Amino acid sequence: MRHWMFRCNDVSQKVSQSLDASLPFHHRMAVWMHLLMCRYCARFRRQLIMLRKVSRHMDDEPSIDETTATLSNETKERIKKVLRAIP
Amino acid sequence: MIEAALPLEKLAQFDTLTGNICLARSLDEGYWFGMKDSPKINADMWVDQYGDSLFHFALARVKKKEIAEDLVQETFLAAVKAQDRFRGQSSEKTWLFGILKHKVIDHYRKNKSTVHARDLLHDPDNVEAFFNAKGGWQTRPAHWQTNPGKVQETKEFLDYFYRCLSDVPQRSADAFVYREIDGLSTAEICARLDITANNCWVLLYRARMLLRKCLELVGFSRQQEGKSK
Repeated sequence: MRHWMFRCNDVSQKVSQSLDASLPFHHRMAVWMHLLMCRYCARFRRQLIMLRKVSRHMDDEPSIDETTATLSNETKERIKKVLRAIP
Repeated sequence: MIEAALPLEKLAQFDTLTGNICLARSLDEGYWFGMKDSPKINADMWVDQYGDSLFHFALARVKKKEIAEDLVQETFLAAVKAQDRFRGQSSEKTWLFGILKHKVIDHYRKNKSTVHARDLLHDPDNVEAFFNAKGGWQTRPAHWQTNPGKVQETKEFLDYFYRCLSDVPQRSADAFVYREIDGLSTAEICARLDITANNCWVLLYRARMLLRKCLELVGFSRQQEGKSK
């Protein structure tokens, strides 16, 4: 580290890495100190977490009701036919 | 052929109990590796049972009904072809949705729109340029007025998300998809892409930076900087 504390570019990397691995204690502290003082990096961190949430929840199954678009019977039959053709 | 859902589920559990774990999926072909003597799956039953929810999922992500239908068909095709490799680590449904998610991402990759952030982003390989010489933000992250719970329901957001993702360089995007959409660990991604952990973090970092920036540029954020300063 060139400095006693991380700068924004270091912090952005560490914040990203912290989503995939646990950081060494002194890095965690340095990031934490920086985030206390830098609203933009704090914002960045929140946004990365949000990206994760959005990505992970992408498989939430949409609720199906009568208004929901469904596959027509013809389409289903067509797909079944295609699948049956597979040896 | 398996006649009903129950025996298959039991079998899936049994396989889980043997302790075999699935390690990897690829973006294009072959999603699961393993299970050898699995019985043939009843594809008709799949279509009846999961067709509508897969279609609904796809339709929320692509604009046209025809495309969504095609993606569903491709998903079933890939699933039937790869059924030997389905290990029952997850439920059939999760497995099918996993395939569909990759099909949607592939669809966006293949049909990149001309509009997008690629032009707006400076050199996508140079994430360093996001910062000035002193290590501060070149452009400060803007405030996002969004609620992920709500926002992901809107077609607009999903469309932005996939389009932005398709603008991220391939390897970074792959790493991101494995990590955030498939939920693989860093170690699994490293094995999959044959890279070091450090490399993996760099790829993920790049993907997140570009994706975040792209979403901001396409207007996902509300211009609130004036207020918040």
